[in-house]
Amino acid sequence: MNFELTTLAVSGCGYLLLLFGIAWASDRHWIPRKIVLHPLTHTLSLGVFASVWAYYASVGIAMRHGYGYLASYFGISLAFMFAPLLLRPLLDLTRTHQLSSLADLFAFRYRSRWAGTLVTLFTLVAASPLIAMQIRAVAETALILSPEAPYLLVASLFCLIITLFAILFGASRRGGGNQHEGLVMAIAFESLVKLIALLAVGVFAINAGFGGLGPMQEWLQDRPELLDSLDAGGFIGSFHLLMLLFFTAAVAMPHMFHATFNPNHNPQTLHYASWRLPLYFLLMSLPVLPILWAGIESGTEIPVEYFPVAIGHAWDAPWLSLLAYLGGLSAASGLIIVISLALANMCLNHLILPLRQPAAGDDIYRWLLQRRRLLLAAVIWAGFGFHIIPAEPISLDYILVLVLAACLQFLPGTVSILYWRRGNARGFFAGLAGGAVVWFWFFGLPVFRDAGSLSLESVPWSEAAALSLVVNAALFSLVSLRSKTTDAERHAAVVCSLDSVKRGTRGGLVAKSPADFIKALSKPLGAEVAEREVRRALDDADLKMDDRRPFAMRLLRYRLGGNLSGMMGPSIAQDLTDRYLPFSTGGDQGRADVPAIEYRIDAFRSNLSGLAAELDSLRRYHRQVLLELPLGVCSINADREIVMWNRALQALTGITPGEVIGLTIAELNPPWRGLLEDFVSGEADHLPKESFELDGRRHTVNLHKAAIDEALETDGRHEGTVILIDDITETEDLEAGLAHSSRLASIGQLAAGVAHEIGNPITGIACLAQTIRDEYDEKELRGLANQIVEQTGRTSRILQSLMNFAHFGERSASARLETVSVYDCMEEARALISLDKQAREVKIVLDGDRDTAIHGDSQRLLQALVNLISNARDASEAGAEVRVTCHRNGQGVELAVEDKGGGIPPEIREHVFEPFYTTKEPGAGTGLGLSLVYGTVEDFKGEIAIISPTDREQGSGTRVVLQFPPP
Amino acid sequence: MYLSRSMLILMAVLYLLFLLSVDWIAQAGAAWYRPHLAALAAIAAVALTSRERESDEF
Repeated sequence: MNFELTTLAVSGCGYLLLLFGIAWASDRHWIPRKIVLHPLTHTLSLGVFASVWAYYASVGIAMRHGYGYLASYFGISLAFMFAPLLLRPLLDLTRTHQLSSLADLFAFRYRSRWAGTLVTLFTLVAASPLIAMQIRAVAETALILSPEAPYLLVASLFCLIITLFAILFGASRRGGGNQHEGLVMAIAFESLVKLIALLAVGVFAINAGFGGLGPMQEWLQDRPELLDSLDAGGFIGSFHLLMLLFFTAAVAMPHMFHATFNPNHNPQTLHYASWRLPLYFLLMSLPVLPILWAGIESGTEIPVEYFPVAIGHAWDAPWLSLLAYLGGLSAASGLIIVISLALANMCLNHLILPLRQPAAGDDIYRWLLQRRRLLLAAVIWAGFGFHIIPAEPISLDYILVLVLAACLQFLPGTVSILYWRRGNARGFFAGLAGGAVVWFWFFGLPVFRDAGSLSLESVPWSEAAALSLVVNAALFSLVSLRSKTTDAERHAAVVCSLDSVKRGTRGGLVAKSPADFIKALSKPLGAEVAEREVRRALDDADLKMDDRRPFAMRLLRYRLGGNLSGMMGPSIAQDLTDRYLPFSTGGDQGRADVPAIEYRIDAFRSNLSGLAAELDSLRRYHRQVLLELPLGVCSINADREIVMWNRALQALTGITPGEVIGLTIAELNPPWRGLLEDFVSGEADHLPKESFELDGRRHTVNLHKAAIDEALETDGRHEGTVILIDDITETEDLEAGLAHSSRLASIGQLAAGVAHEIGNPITGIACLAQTIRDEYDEKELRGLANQIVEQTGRTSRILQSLMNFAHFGERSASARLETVSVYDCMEEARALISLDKQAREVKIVLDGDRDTAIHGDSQRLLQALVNLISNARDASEAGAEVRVTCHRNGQGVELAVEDKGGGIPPEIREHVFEPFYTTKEPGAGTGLGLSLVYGTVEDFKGEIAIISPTDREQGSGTRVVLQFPPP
Repeated sequence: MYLSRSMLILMAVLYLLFLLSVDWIAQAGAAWYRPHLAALAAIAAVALTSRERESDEF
């Protein structure tokens, strides 16, 4: 049963076109985003690991090494089951610093371009056989199904389509982003297809080949040699090493790194995949043995690796053969696309860009895209070339172990990134070189010597792989320990290590604003790209274009470095940021950037568990205590940058923590700048009753400060200062009001005494004048005497008024309410007010019926009027008119005092009747006047209302209306 | 920081079980899918641990 070549070509091309369609539809959001971005989609895309070796070669491995074939599935599964050990911390690192490959990671950690370049070259050498293996499998299975198919034509057509696909969906975006959503969706679909195909072949093999599970078991019992062969060669001996090889492959194989650490994946994908991906691999491994036995049973002459295709062939089920072929096509195409993308990025970042970079005038995105596409094609076709070079094909399982042993050389360097800070670039180079030599000796040379007869049995592969790892790790450790580690490496080691968030320097940057960043980066990148990248980094870090805070600028540099790293690799990004965005003071490496530490702890909070999580809760609790403290708390670091600004301080200053954290105190607005700068610079630790003007109101605060000594600082340096600001303005106002009131009371008593003392002689003068007036007939003398009587009468009234005023508040329980002439009180109040020659001259106009009367106390009404007119006078311009009116209305008597002053602002209107509330200068008013008026009107069973402004257009004028009941 | 206590215990237990299960798997005449059953048990254990972490974190 053979297929027509056209049938095979149409099926293969049709399937690949379907992949195009899925990727296209995902990129255009025709497939719901919920599906495209679902963690299950990302998890399935990680199934790219199960390439041709899992689909075809594992049957061959099962034949030769029994259960040894499971090592591949178990090894990769362990890497995901224990993701917190290696994958999760690496994911955080790669996401934070936008590292897209293992070469990026090594170049970043060991601060060496050469690290990236060597890893790229070594990976290229190791990965080419893997690509060749995929191409060979597709072409050979096509040849099995359609023997007349021209091998090279099938292989090259496959490569051509895959190249087109990779270029269209893997390197189509401008801006160097890695958001290949369509590609991820297509790869996930491929993973599903190959699983379904392999399971279908497995089920068919059991049913068609043996008639069910039971008969298969009986068939096995009749062939004990097959069951014994499952443990052939003591598979356990090499099982550990095989598992380690596949465990390492999860990180070290370029396609797995690309799929696992894609910066745009949902960070929870790893967690989601921790058991789902192992389940996927378990399902993939399940049909392998039934397929092997069914193939044996069928007696087919097809090589054992291609039994999945042979089953349908043997039992005359063409649909199954075609399905198996498509499954194999999925496995091969998925790997080639992803690995070529990963290798193209590595080559661009570590082979091309270090030699030649785009000029500032070039469209940098276009420049990068063109080269990435060329490299993609070059990588795929290099694999094609590799697969036709050997005269005789090398066995699939040998190629697999050769590639895995090469990847194993990255294990010591990778582990060191997270767990060993002493590791340095020299050690890494030495280890890699030593391991590579052993690898080449045992695995590479045989390929050139006797490719055709190469198999795993012909080389001591497990010993060789173990030896290469030992040599690598030993050289790495020894050289690292004996050579000098640079400051940059030490810093990178801290950044990468698991247990540290104390990263970054705290020095000021030369660039002081995002605009400076754009200007500085315009030189290497061009103005347009520089602006786009700075804006992107601002968005990522949630900062604004006008932000100038030193902390924010450091954060912006950090984000920008990460984004540039994603675009051009970490070495170039590091060079660019060091050269164009330098620290003005070189940075203070030894001191912690507290806001940055908090930012990072918050960002990685979900990673904290156990004691770390509890300590973090404790930190948050103490921080909350400081934030909620009813005293203003502000802490500054040694560079006088504000680190904390609590809620009480926010209420006092009206400045939110978000606006002020990261600013230096010299950048605060007055009066806080002067106040805090002087206090921090001064020697006194306590500064009582410091006054300043804020929003037209006088404020008084007590200031206290204390130095913060960092626990780890041994040289006695201060880490910063904490400042307490206690707002005592209200207490001060209250005290001033009470003192003033007390002083007025004393003056009142004095006035009463003086009035009483003056009253006696005045009475005497009046009596004498009356006597002269009554007893002398001389007209002129009588007239003069009469005037003396009038003047003394007037003086007596003034004295009486003074005495009454002084005695206000002495509300005698026996005070009786009587009918009071309102107009008389108005006149008397005017007379009293006019005595104050110090006050502003205003025209007091009285208007009303002379016989208007209310039921009350004349002295208290007089007092109220004096207070109201006095307030009106104070609010008026000199020479302005103050109108005092009284008239009867339907509800009784209305008495009003009206001025043309500035009016009462709405925010203080509700406070004006409160005792001691005043807007006048301290000492100018007691804040008791309107309170007294309110009390008087209440006692007279009246009502009081304030209308302000009376002139709505001008927003000026106040009218106080007292409404009394009829007498 | 990344490894929870339950994960550490699980790693130790799985390794010990792996060593113990080798003989059980390689027993003469045993069902061919025994390794798969062992793997399934390990996956179930990880799934349980993973669910516990999910409830802690989210």
